[in-house]
Amino acid sequence: MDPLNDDELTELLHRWRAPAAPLGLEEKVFPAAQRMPWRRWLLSGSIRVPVPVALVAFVVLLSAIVFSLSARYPVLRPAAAVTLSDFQPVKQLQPRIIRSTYEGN
Amino acid sequence: MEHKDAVYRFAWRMTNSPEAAEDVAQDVFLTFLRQPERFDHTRGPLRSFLIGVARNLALKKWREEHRWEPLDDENYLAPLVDLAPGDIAELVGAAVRALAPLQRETLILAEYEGFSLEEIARPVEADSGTVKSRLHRARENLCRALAPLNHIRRKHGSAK
Repeated sequence: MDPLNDDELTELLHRWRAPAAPLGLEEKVFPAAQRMPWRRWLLSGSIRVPVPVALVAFVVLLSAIVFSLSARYPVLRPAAAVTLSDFQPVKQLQPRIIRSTYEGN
Repeated sequence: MEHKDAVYRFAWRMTNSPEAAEDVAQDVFLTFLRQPERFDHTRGPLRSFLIGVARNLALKKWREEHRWEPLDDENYLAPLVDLAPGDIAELVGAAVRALAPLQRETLILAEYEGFSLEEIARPVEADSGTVKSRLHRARENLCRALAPLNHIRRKHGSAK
């Protein structure tokens, strides 16, 4: 009887397929996490966040903080530059003397 | 639990039992959760480490059932498959399971998990040369053991 060659063996080997892990496996590994009540989870639970999502969230949060601060404290722009030519002599001077009330007594 | 399928598949092929494979996979992840410091990322990826733990547990189980049998035997000749069950996948599985454990694990990691010789060497705690020789013997044994299937393939053009 002729033995198989390498290609024939490889082809045959790949007909033997293994099943995927049973669904209950994860629950068996993390039974405590599965049974944790949601109120306790809020205090001591944790979630896994992918790094790109965390980075985007951080940038959005930072932008929101910068935006709200800039709205609260608007940047004061300096007035237009004043030159000497803007100063004019007073054309009509009307002095008015104001006396305090006790001076008349 | 990203590698649970790979670990379970490996354990299933090594132990030939869904229950034993689930036990092994569960122990692998519990070991990792309890002692995460045992994993050294400089020595290889997590998948290799987990497969290594699964391999040790599967061999321990095998050793409990086959106390006096050697883990590997250079002169071992795999028996020809019995064509009675008829299903080719089952026949192939039976032939792989009939290999000595050290040949079987090497073949499973190379053929089904796509590990290179160097990647296999780490979890099986052997050098690449030894792994290569075990893989060669495993394939040689299977070529002979599965020869009756070849006879049918040639007779019918293709295996059904």
